[in-house]
Amino acid sequence: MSNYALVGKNMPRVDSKAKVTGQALFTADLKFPKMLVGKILRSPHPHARIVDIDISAALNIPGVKAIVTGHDTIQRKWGVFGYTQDQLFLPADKVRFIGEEIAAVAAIDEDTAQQAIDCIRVEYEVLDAVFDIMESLAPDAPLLHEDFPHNINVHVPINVGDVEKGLAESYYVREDTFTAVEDSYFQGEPYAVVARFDMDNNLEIWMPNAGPHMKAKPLSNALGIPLNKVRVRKITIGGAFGGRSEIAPADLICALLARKSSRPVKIVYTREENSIATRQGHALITTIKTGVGQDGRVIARDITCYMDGGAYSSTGPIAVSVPFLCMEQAYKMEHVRYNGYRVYTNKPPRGMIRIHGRAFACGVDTQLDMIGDHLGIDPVTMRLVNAREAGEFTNTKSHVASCAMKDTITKASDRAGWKEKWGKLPPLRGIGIGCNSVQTGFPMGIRGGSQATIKLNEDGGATVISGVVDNGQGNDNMLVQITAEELGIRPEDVQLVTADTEVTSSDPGAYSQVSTFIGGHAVKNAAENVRKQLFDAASKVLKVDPDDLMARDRMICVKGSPTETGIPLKKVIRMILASGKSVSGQGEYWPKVDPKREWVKNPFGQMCGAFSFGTTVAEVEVDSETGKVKVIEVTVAQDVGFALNPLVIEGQFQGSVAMGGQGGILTEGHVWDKGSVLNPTQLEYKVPLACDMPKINTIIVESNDPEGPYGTKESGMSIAMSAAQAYAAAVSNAIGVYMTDFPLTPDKVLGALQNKMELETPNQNEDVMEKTLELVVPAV
Amino acid sequence: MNKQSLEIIINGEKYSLAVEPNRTLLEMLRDDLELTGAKEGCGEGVCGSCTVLMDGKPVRSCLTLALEASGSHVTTVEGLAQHGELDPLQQSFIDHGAVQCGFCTSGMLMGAKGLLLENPHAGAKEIRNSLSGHICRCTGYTKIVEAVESVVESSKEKR
Amino acid sequence: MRLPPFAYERPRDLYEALELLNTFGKDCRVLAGGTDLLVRMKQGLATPSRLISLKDLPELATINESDGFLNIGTAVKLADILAYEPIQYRWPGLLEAVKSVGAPSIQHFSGTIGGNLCQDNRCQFYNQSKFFRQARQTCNKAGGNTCFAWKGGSDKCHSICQSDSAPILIAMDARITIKSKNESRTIPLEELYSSVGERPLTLADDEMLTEIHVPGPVPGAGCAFEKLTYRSSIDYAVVSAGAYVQTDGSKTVNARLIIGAVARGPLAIAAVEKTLKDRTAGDEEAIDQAGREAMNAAEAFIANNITQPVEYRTQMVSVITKRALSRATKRALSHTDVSEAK
Repeated sequence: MSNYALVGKNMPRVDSKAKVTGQALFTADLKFPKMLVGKILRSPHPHARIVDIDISAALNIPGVKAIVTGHDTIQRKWGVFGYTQDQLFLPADKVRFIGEEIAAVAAIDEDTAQQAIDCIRVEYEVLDAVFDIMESLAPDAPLLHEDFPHNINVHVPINVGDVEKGLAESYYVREDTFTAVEDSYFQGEPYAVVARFDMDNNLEIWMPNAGPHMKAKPLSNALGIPLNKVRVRKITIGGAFGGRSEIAPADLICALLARKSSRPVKIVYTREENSIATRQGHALITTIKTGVGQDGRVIARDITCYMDGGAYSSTGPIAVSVPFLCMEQAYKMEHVRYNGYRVYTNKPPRGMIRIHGRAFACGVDTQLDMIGDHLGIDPVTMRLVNAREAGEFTNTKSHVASCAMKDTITKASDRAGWKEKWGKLPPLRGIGIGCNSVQTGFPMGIRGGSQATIKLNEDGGATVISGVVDNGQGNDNMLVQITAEELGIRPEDVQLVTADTEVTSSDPGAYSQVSTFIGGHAVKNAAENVRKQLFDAASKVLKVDPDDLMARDRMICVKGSPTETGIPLKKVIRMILASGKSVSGQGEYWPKVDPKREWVKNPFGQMCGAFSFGTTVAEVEVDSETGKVKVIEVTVAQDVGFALNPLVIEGQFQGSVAMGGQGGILTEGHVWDKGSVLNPTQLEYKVPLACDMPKINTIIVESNDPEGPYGTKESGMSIAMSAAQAYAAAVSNAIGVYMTDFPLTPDKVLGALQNKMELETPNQNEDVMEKTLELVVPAV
Repeated sequence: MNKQSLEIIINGEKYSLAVEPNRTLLEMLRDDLELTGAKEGCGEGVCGSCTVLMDGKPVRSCLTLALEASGSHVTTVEGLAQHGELDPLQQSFIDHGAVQCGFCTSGMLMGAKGLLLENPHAGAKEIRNSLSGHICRCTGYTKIVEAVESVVESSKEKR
Repeated sequence: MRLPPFAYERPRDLYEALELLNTFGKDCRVLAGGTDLLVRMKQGLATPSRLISLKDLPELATINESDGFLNIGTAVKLADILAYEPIQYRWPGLLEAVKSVGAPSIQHFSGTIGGNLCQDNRCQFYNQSKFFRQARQTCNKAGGNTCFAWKGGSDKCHSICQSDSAPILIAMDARITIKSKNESRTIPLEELYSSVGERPLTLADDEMLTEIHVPGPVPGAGCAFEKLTYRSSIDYAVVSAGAYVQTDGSKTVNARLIIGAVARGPLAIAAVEKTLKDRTAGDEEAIDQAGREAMNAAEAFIANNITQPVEYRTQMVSVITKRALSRATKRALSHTDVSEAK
C-alpha cells in the first residue's frame, strides 16, 4: 500500500463547520434586494384538458409582479433523451397528474402570491385517468401521450444466449412475481429555486441539484438562450438520492418569473410539493423465471418488469435498465432475457432512487433463497455459487475489472455469525442476506467526462475549479483530500470553485455514483499536472530527476530523504511565477465506456468504468401478534475499490441501511386514493427515526480498481440495495413465508404469518419454507 | 393585522421587535433577523429541522408563534458557539462525521443541546429517544448518536 | 407554510381569558402548545380570527394533589407531567400515555395535557393541505356532505380521536373542570367527547377545559396504556388502549377499558367489565374473551381514516386490549397495598 498522507484516512469533512454553525446557506436561505416570492398553481385533476386560464383577477392584486403560464414558454418539450421528450413545463394543452404545474405568480410576499394563485381561474375538461400499471396497458385505457401507444413510455428488450434452451436444461425452474408501491426521496431539504437575471440578461440560478451542468443545458434550451448565459451557482444541497438530477419545472418557472418581473424570485416548495411535484420512486411488478443446476448455479433467467413511470419520461430508459443491470453485475448466469417496460399513468413522474427497483432486487434474492430452500443449499452458498468475479464480463458485455463480491459475502456473513445462526434461531427470529452491485457511472453522452483546473498562488494555496457537486455525500471534501494529497499541502490550503456553470467545465454530476471516479479523477489529473510543473522547477534547484521528487507537508523534497531537506512549496511557486509562467494545470478524465452503448437500441458494450459490490446481512425478530419487525443487528460489507475516507464511507453505509433496509423494506411506501398521494409528508410517510435503527456493523472491502483514482469506485449504494434485500430475506426467514410485496409493513407480515398458520398441508403452497413450517405446524 | 411588540433575547442579544400575530418564531428568525440556521423541512412539527431552544428547552419554531416566545431566551444554532469556540457538540458532530447534507444538523444540535442541558449524563438510549424527534435522511443516525455520546463521555472525564 | 392572519390575545388571568371567550365565542380558539391547532390553521382546517394564549396563566399550569386527586392544569406541559415524580409509581398508565405523545423532548415541551385531550379528530382525507382537499368534494368534517373514509360514503364524519391521554384518563375515571365566564362544572372526562366526528368535543363556544382531576390509586387497582405504531416516535396510534383493573388480590372486581384511535371518540368497551368481573385476575381465557369483545365492539366504527388497513386495525384492537389488560392486572396484583407502593 502506498504511503499516503491524507487519502485512505479518516478526515472530518471540510464543509461540516459551516453546517454545524448554521452558516451554510441552502437555497431557501438566500435573500436578495427586491426579491419576490414565487408560488405555483397546480392541477387538481389527474388528467384534464386545459380549456382556458384566466389570470386577469390575479394580475389586479396589488403586489403581484408577474404571472406566467404555458404561453410564456417556447413550448419545447423536455426529455432526458431525444426519444423521450414528452414533458412541457407549464403545459398549455393538458395536465397529466395531480400537482402538475399550470401557472405561477411572483409577488412581494408569500401571502400575496398565494392570494393571486387562488384567484387564477382555470377551466378544465376532465379526462378519464388511469392509475394502475396493468389498467394503463389495457386496450381501452385512456392514452396519456398521443405519440406513445399503449401508454408504453419505454421498452428495453435484452436477450443474451438462449433462454428457452437454458431453462430446458435446468435442474429446477421456478417463476415468481414481486411487487412494490412507490417509494420517495424525502430529502431533508424541500426543493427550492432562486433565479435572477443581470443587466446583460445572464441567468443566475440556485437550486438543489445533482449536477449543475445537467441543469444548465436544458434550461438554456427551454429559455432559448445560449448556455453561457445560464449560470447555475453553487449552493449547499440538502440531499438528492437520485431525485435531483434533471431540470425541474420549478427551475424554468422561477427563471421565467424572474425574467418577466425583472427581479430576483424565490420559490420554496412545501414538503407536500416536494413529494408530489418533484420525482418519486417507481412502483413495479416484476416476474422472474429462473432455472438452476443442481448446485444452485443460475443457468437462465427470464425477467419481465413493468414499472409505473407516472405521467412523464424523466430518466425512463435508465430507470428501466438499472435494476436489470445491477442484477447481471452481481450474479452470473449463462442465458438471460429481459423485457422492461416503463408505463405511463396519471401519477407524478418517477425518477431513480437510492434503492431503485426494490421489488426487482428483493425478488432476485428472495427467489435465490426459494431455490436454495428447494435444493437444500443455504443462502450464503447460493450467493457464493453465483457471485460475480473479477475479470469476467456481464451478459451485456461489460468487463468487470475489479470485484470482491465473494469477499463481501464471506466477511459480512462471518461477522454476523451466519453459521451459528442460520437454521438455528428460535421461532420468529430470522436472518437474511442480500447482495448487489451498482454502476460507477452511466453512459452520459457528451457529459460523460469531467474537466478540472487547479491554480496555485504564491503563498502555496491552491484553487480547484471543478464541476463536481456535493449533494451532501461529501464530494467537496473528496476534492480537497485528493488535491491536498497530490500537491503535498494541507486541506486548509485548498479552496474550491465548484458546481458553478459560469466557471466550471462540464461534469456528469453526482447522479450516477461517479463523482470520485470521474470528477475526482479529473482533479487528480489536474493536480498531477501542476505537480509536474513544480517538480520540473524544483528538480533544477535540487539537481535531481523530477521523478525522484515528492510533495509532502508543503515541501518539495527528494524521495527517501527527510522532508525538511526539500524546498518549501511556495518558494517553488514563486520561482515559476517569477519566470513569467502561471502555476496552473488542467486535468480531464473520460471513463472507458463503449460510446456505442445505448439504453434501448444497443444495450451492449462497456457500461461504465467500474462496478461496486456489496453484501448485507440482517437479523430480525417478528412480533407474532402485531407483525411488527424489530431489527436486531445489521452487518454490511462493500467492495469500494479503495476507501478514500473511511469515516465518510461508513456514514454512507449507515445511511444506506436506514433508507434501503429500515425504511425501504419495513415502512416506506406511498398510499394512494386514485391519483392523490395520501401520505405526502413525513408524518405518514414513515422515514426511519433514531430509535428505529439497529446496531450496524460496517466492513469496508478493497479491491483496488485498476482504473479508479487510488483504486476507488462507488461506495454506499450497493449497501442501500443489498440492505433492502437482506431485510426482506430476514423477515421471510423469521416468519417462514417468502414475502413478495414490499414494503413489509406489520399488516402484511401478520397477514402472511396468519395465512401460513391456516394452511392445512405444507405442500399446498410452495411459497412456504419447507423447513421452518415443520417447526410451526406439527406433521400432518 | 396589526403588529404587536415583543421583547426577546436571542443568542444573548436583546431585541425589541414588532411582529404580526401570525408570524412564527421560525419566520421571525429566518426572515426578519436573518438567522437562517433553523430550517423549515415540513412546517408541521414533524421533521425537527426548525428546533431551537426556548428557555433551554427544545421547541419546534415552525409551530411556535413569535409572540408566544416573547419574554424568553431563545438560542439558535448560530448562538451555540461561544466567543468563537465551537460548542463541544458542534466539534463532536464534525469529528464523528455526523454531518452529511447538513439540513437537519442545526435542529439535531439544538435537540441534543437541550437534552444535555437537562441531563449532561444522558445514556445512549436516552440520546436516541431524544433525537427521535428529528428526521435525518442521510446518516442513519449512528454517527449522530456517537457524536452526542462522545460529548457525554468527555464531560464525565473532565469531572 | 404560512399561518392565516388572526388577532392574538394574551390574557393575564383566567377571568380575562373566559371573558374573551365569552365575547368572541366560536371565532376564537384557545392556544396552548399549538402543536395541533397551528398545523390545522396552516392547512386551513381551522380559521379562528382570534387566538387566546394561555402563556400567562400560571394558574392553569400547576400540578397538585388534594383530596385523593391528582389535579393537572390544562396548560401543564407534557414534559412537566413526566417530571412530576409521584406519577412514576402512582399513575404509571398515565406516564405511559404521555410518554407516547409525539416525539420525546420536542412535542413534550410545547404540548399540553389540555391540548392533547382537546385535539380535533383526524382523518387521512381531512388532515391534508388545502391543495389536496380542493382536488375533491368537501367532506362532512370540512362542512360538506360526503365521507371518503367510509366505504360507500356516509352522511356522518368518520374521523377518529387520536388523543393518547384520553383513553387512559377515562379508564382511570378522571374528571375535568370546564369553565366559562359565568359557570364552572366538573364532569367525567368521557363527557367531553361527543362522538360526533364533525364536532368531537362537547365544549360550548365560551367554555374552556381548565383542569383534569385524576383519582389517586386504589389499593388493588392498576392501570396501563398500550399504543401500537409503525414507527418508534412521531406517530399517531394505529390502535391504543387504556385499561383499569381492580382486584381483591385474587379476583377481578372492577375493570374498565377504553380504546383509542378507532372511533369518533374514545371508545368504552362496556362488556369487558362484565367479562372480567369475579374471574381470577389475569385469567388468560377471560382476557382473551375481553380482547374479542373489544374487537367486536370496535369493528363497527373502524373506517379507512388512517393509512393502515381496516382489517389489520380491527385485529389489533384485540391484541392491544389484551396487552393493556394484562399489564394493568399485573400492576393491580402487585399494588394490593398502595401505601407499600409509596
